[in-house]
Amino acid sequence: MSTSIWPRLSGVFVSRFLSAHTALGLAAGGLLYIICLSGTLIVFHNETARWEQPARGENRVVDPDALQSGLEAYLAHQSDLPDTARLVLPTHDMPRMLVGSGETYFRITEAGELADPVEHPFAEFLVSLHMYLHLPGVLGLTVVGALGVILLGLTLSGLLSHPRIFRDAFHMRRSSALLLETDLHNRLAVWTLPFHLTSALTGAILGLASIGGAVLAYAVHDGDLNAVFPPIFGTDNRVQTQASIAPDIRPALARFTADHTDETAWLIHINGTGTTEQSIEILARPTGRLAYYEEYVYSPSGTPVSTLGLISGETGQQVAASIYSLHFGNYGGVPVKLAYLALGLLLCLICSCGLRIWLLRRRQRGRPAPGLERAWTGIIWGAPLSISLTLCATPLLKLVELPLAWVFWISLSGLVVLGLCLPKPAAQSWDLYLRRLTGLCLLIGTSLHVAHHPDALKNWEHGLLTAALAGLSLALLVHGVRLKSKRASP
Amino acid sequence: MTSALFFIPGLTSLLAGLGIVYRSWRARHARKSTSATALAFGWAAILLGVVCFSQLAGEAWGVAIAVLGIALLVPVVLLTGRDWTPLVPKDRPSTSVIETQPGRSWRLPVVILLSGPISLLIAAMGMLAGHRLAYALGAYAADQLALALFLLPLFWTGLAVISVIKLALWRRALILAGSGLVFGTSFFFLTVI
Repeated sequence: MSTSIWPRLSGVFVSRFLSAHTALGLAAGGLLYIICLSGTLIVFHNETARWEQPARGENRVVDPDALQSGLEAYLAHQSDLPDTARLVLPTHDMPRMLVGSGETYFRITEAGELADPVEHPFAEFLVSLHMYLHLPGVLGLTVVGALGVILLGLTLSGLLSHPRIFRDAFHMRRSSALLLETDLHNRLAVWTLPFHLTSALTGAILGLASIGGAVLAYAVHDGDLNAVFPPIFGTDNRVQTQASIAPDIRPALARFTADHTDETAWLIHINGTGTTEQSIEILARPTGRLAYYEEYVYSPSGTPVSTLGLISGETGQQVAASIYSLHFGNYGGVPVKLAYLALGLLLCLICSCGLRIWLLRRRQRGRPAPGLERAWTGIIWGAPLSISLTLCATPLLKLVELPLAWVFWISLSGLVVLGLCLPKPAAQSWDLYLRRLTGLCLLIGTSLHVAHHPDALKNWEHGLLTAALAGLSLALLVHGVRLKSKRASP
Repeated sequence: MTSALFFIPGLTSLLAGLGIVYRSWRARHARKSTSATALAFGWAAILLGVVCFSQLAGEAWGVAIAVLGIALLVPVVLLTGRDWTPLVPKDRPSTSVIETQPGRSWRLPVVILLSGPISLLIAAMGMLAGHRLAYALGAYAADQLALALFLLPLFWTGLAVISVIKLALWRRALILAGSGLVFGTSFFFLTVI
């Protein structure tokens, strides 16, 4: 036997961490898979939102006059002035001007008039699924944060239970289903480690920030939650000014453009509308930095008041600002987003293989659990199927005002239960049915969308996304048919 | 020096490093011996590539782009490779996931309690202790807060893994209790003194 340059881990040590890895995976595999899948899909959230609600006259040029007119028109229609109104500036992935506050936003036309309200329930459904699992507020965030902790624990225990991590670096054995699943799981998990470690840690930090903030407020700030986050995210710096319903944002925007040529403004907060204490906060994305944004505060006359310091302040501020970008994957344009999409899909594959290894191992030891195997397939293919079904149901549910989350969770639960109870003949083709149904639903959803917005295809980005969805649905349908004929042949 | 000057050497170094690591691994597999020099050279080239990328723009940004590239490239090579290792060496111990042994019915709720709320509570104490320690060492308020935000999930992860590890239940509980004691005492003394 050859001598090895690598240190050896004891069998007991490996076995202990392997058991922890298995326990954590079994405890949260299904929910983790759903979080990973929805997170992968919302990497292209802005693109999905644009696709869902196509708009004519998209423009990547910031027009301060149109923004100001839009702001004035919006505030003129409000019976109760919001404390903070927001202007969304056009960027590469969302080339639209929007105005609004809270949950309600309107598109601003190039002429500065208010257009249709912003409405993309499917894109928001995906975000809500990933961020909250459709649970209410802080509870949802905390549950998702806890799942981030479990993913982090799985990464840690998986790493420590991998005694041949370097020696097996490129091993891909296919002599049996179990070996293939094991090698896929181990190799992909090791090589994509930087990605899923970062995603899990940043996700856990974002999810648990509410709880952590509450604990810090109670223990350090005499219960004052508002005193916890200002060291990083600053406070509301308003200045005395003449009362106006809509302060003029143009001097501030002109000053920002002149002073920060290498940063792209993407959001403006107009604080204190209609009061004598106002400020204009411009949030900008720096190029070549990981920080999600930098915030510049101006008075309505355009005088700089303060800079938050997320790209040039304390280390803690810079690190905290990078957490968002690292989690969202929006720090390098479309190439980085595509990389996040691919790595996210690989993470879904790692999750899927992990539980299949356990099920195959059971089968190998003479204790098969066919019901559980089908239920797991019901989650793996049922989740994309339920998402596709939700896409199909979106136009219909708008009419009856039912939440999209219901469609998703009812169909997913139904598929898992169906998987558990399926009779043996149907069970053999269970995954094929689910694959084909996913393709079919995606095709119907895409066709409905095209029928509803035929003019939108003139926009090449919209056409490309539609073609990609149609291609994916056809691929799933054709692959399902090919797999069936392959399995049917002796 | 302009950042563009670093892109080509950085990319070349990354790709060459990955290629060397892969080739030396293949050679090891064929001859059953490890060429430590080639492997070290390959990893050094990868590191050099990452360093070059760090000079492209912001340091962290460049490193993130380089690491993302590696994390994506190797799985693509692995998944699309035709020459997957077909044979299983006989001296290879199993690295596949093993099953946990069925336990007594009361164990599962106890383990869930230990790994969930109890670990979270102890992790929160750890977070507070870390926050206070940073304060005592004179760190800026933003750094104290950022540290606390990182410590909570990291401590919870560590404690949750210990809670589900294959070890006698009382030992796991003891480790958790010990951690809680250390964190709690540290927080108390750092706050009071």
